[in-house]
Amino acid sequence: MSDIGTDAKRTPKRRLLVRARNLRTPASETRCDEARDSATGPQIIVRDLHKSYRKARIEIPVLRGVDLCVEAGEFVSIIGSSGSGKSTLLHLLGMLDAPDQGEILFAGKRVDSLSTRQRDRMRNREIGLIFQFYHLLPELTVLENVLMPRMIGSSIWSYPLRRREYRERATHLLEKVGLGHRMNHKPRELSGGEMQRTAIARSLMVSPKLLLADEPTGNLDARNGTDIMRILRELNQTEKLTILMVTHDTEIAAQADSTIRLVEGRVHKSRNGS
Amino acid sequence: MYKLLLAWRYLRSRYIALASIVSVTLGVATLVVVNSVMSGFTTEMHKRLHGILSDIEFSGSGLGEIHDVDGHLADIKQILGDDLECASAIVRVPALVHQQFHGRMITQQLMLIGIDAETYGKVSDFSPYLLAEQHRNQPAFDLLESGYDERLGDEAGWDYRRRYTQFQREQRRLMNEAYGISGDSGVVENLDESAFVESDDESSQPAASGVVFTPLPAQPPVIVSDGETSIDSPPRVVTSPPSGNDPFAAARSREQGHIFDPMVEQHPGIILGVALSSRKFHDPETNEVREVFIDRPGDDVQITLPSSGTPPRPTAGIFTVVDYYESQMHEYDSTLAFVELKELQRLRRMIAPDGSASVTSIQIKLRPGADLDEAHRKLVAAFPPDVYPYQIQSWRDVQGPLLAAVQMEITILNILLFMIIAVAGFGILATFFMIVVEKTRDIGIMKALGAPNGGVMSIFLGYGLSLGIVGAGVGIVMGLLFVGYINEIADVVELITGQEVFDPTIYYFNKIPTIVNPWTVCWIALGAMAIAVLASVLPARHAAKLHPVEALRYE
Repeated sequence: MSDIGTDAKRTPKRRLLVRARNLRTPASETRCDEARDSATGPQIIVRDLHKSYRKARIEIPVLRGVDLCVEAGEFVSIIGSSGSGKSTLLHLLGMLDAPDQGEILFAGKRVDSLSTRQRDRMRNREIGLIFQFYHLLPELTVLENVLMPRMIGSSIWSYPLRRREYRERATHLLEKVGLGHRMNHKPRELSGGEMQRTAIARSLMVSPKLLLADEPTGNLDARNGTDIMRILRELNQTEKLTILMVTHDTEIAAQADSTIRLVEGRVHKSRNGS
Repeated sequence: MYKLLLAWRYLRSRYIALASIVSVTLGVATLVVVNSVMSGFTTEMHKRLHGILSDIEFSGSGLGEIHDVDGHLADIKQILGDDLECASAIVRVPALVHQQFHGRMITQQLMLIGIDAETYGKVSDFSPYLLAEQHRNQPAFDLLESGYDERLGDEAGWDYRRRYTQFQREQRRLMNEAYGISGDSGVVENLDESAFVESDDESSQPAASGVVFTPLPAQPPVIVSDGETSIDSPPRVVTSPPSGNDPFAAARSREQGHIFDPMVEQHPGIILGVALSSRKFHDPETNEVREVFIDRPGDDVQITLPSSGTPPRPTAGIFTVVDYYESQMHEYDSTLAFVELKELQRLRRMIAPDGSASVTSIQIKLRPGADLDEAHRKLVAAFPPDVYPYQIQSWRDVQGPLLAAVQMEITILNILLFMIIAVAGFGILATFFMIVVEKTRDIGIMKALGAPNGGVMSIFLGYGLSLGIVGAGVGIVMGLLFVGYINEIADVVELITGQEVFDPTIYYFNKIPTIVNPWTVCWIALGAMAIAVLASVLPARHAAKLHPVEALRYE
């Protein structure tokens, strides 16, 4: 893999402590625990996370005990080869799935044991998701796609009351990602980069505290990829948005503050970003 | 909110689903049409059945007679009180009619009803079914100068009678000349009534009459002098002179100076059911329905009927057809004939020496809104069947089996057609599963954005409902349009296929009757929508249960 070459620097980053389970460095946990107790802001603590999938009665372990700690406002990239469990980890963080074992804490609150309804609500209100294949709804226009989280989050009665406000925000976000002129187009009329920018605008619609990006540049050419990264970095810096980005591209990963490498379902090593 | 938006967008972008509800649409349209036509037929039938029959019939069981009619009427009035609107006494007796057609006798059986034209029209619809407009306004048993239905053309009324009599006389004269009979002043009457031997009645009742018919041409025509009457003199109605078996009657009648002249006189009038005289058939050459009349208003017919008393004896009388009765119910049009009550009583010798006459039944009409069953019950209670030989029937009793059969037919048709819509429901089910599979990733996206299972489910339920609404709506519009132009459509289909869709010779309706019942239409629409929603429940549940991660990975 191309990212092996970038493993030279292995010093743990100042604001990020990652403990691979097999290393057992008790010191790494301390900082996160302190932060959790103080509850100063959005912060993710993952402890001993296990997840396995069943395929034809054979259990395939994907995550075998992941521990990590992300502080508020951090831009972290997760890299790893295919099957290393990085997407699964992101899905668990995004509460699209429930872990078999272990805990996930958002701002000191356990979220892995929430009910489906609460998880739906949390995902809608507090987490923005970006995917490699954009995942826009083809029947809706760009603007409607961006409004979607709000539509889902509000009832049929409350939505029309605040419709104007929502539309203004959506328009503002689209202008910010440079798509003000494309609002009434259908996704199929957009280029890949434009679709991904729409997806970013959508993820920001509800002003989340956490943005999870699953290979956001994986399907884009270098120029568009750079664009997306620039937007993400900007969001991280201006809005203090916590961003977790999964990628297999070390160059992209290097643009994050810090990088976590997953190997065979465990956090293998971490290093400082560029 | 997103549910509505997405259901709407899916509706607009998935034409395959719209195709799947074509069957719902067609089912709904068919239901609307069938129900409208059936209820049109039923209502028309109800109206006719009820119109022709009075509300309640108080009869003496078959030919059994009711004596002391006034006393019974008074009793009925007392029993029913305010509920009674009108009552009319009638005589109903099976009879034979002999019609002359191209020189041959046609004998048909019929039900002869003697009515009082004035009161009978109040207890049941009678006059609206007459062909002559003047009779429709003022039912009577007089032959009219003209003004009959256009179907009869000019061949109806006094003018026709005169021309026909003239023609017959001419024929007779030519025949007499050919056979060398010096009959220069010979009169051969319309139905050759000179061949009838008129005889006096034993009773001294001048009004009572009966005519014994001797079939022509068993006797040579009795040639009578032309008399002094002229064509211009006003038509006179004559009742048959006193009859019986008195061989001198004819002579005496001549002595009295009266000679029946069909040019200016008519026999007692009879109104025949139109199907007794009219024959409808498909002309093989033009392939059109043609109507042929065996006789026409102005012709004379012979009626044979049983006299009153035990055992009944055959009695006969000559009547002049003055009009036709067309209720468009074949059952009635082909069996009923109406004459004046007094005339029939006279013929059947139902008039007692003291002048009171008996009848066979009393027709009762109730005040609008009166309880038919209650009135019926009261009458039966007052005249218990185990004591009195009377039969008391409401019109529903009389036509009960027919009404029940039609109702049954409607119910079964509705069930069958709803089955069709249910079948269409399975089509929706299959299409929906397809769409859910196609939309798996979108479902994953919505779940990733925080849509709860119920929300995803309601998208597809809403989709199903909107498909149902569209299907039912289009179906109803189609159905209503079809109903509105059903006769035109029947004509077009006829034109294309050459097959007659709606045969008036069978139904005696000139047009297909339709009635659109708004409630029925509502129920059909609701039923179709319910089926569409039910068909989308399974696919919607499937969609709701999709795992977001797997759904997102789905390619």
